[in-house]
Amino acid sequence: MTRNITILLTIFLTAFAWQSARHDVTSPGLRIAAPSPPADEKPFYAEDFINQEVPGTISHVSTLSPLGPKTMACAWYSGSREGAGDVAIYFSVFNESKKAWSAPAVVMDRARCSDELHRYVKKVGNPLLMKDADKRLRLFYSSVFGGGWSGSSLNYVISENGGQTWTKSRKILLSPFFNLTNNVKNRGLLLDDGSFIVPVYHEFIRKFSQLLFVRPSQKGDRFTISKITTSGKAIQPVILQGDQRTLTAFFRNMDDRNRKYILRADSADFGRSWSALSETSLPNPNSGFDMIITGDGSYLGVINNSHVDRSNLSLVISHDKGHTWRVLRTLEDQRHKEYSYPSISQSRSGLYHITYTYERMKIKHIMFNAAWLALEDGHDK
Amino acid sequence: MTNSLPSEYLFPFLFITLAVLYCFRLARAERLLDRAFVPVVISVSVVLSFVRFGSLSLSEYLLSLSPSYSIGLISLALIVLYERLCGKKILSRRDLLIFSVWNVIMSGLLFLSYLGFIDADLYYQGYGFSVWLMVPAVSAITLALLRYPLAFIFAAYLVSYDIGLLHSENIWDYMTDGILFILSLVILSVYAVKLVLRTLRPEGNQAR
Repeated sequence: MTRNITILLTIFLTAFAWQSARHDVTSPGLRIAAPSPPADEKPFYAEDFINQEVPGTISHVSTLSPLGPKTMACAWYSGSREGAGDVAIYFSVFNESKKAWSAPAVVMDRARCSDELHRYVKKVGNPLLMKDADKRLRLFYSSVFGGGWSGSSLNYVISENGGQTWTKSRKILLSPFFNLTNNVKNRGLLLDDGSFIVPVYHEFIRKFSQLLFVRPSQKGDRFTISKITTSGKAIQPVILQGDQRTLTAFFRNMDDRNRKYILRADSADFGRSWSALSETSLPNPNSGFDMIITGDGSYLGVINNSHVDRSNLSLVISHDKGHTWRVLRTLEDQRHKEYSYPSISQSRSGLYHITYTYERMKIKHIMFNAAWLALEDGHDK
Repeated sequence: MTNSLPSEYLFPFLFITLAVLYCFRLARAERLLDRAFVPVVISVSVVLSFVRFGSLSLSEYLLSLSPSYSIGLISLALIVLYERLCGKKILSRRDLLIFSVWNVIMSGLLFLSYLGFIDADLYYQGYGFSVWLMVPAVSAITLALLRYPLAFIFAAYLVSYDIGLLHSENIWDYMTDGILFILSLVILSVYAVKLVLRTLRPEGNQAR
């Protein structure tokens, strides 16, 4: 009897060796695709609002993703207050030719999320748009069963027709302890084998950042999650790609100190290991920000340029991979007002788009081209 | 990742069945129902587990609390339910204590690591072929050789992981979860309290 059990378990062990091939967590290379602007283009800068102000309603946490050749998708949430049960995630598409946003449509709310997941959902929160290698638009979003944001877990829906219709929500299991906590803020990176990485952050008991690897397959998506940070209070990472295996992450700083700076960590092995956290020269009043790499390799960021509050929103640039920074333009600066949670993206036509929370009432949109950026950059040199 | 696997509902169903069983016994329904007792308990449990009251069933409310229950917890619930329904012991008190100690140590390590109190990323290591896959395998073999019934639970981790019974591709999710950790802590605490009380009790009282 004992011998039989031993033989049986040896067979299991062999099966796991085979299983390990399926669970290979080595990382493929990055897909690097930054559109180059035409040499003769004229500087262009414009701003508008995606949604209109509705009394008693807040709008927050916008996310951008290139959609078609001249379209940019945006999602955000609106409701009576952050974390309220009536919060819904809205979706709209900007047409660069028409210079207009489509009418915002509700993609997800608490009732729909609960109905699709067959789970109790107290509220929905942060959305994150990302286009995958199969040109499908994915919307990751957080939902909470109970408590605050530290109780959030991640779900996603997929659209194969540019956001007109969406699949049912799917929950992602990423934590061994009651699936707590996973939340998103900034976009991921597409890899050359069709998989992608999404920066994720954790807030339950301790605050840290993680990297979610998503491998789409015929049988369904496969997920693995690894830590970026273990020390400090570094959340909402922005991941920027260097060369083939190099990643740089910048973090929102939730430290208790008064003068906080955006934090940074580097990886030379595609996120398998990370350097210790270091402070950049960019201030951070415990607020979210976003960054992108421009066509010439500069780092372009949208940050709250303050140690105190979110009243100043600035466009900043670094030509030395984030070691030194300059303010290109102050986008907003009104005392006691809030301009926060920016998202920045570049469309396939080369236009840069920025969206952010405007006084908590609506989502503002700014767009400019590379010529405008070069002009602004040149003015300050 | 699909929306729902039938295996997800295993623990909620077992838990609800146990709750129904205890309620029926408290109400002394066993004598009244006689041979129909077990079928009635299971029928009521099926209704409570899978019929939706409002928008969700009771199972779905339990799955809202924790989206995935481990094979460890499912095995434990299955064993307890079998013992209560059939009156036959599968796990001795010693086995239960060993299992609880294992759960508390492994889960404690995992949660401390996951929450950042230990530098190593143990949960990440659970995705691939690693020492954390070997631990239950070696434990299963050892326990089988020692003829401990617990070997079946460890083998169940490995078999269910290999066939992908749960959503997760992480061996840790097959071995433990928050509920199992808390339950194991309670079992050990109760045992510790009883041990202390027994030690403190004067010998004279025991003789009486």
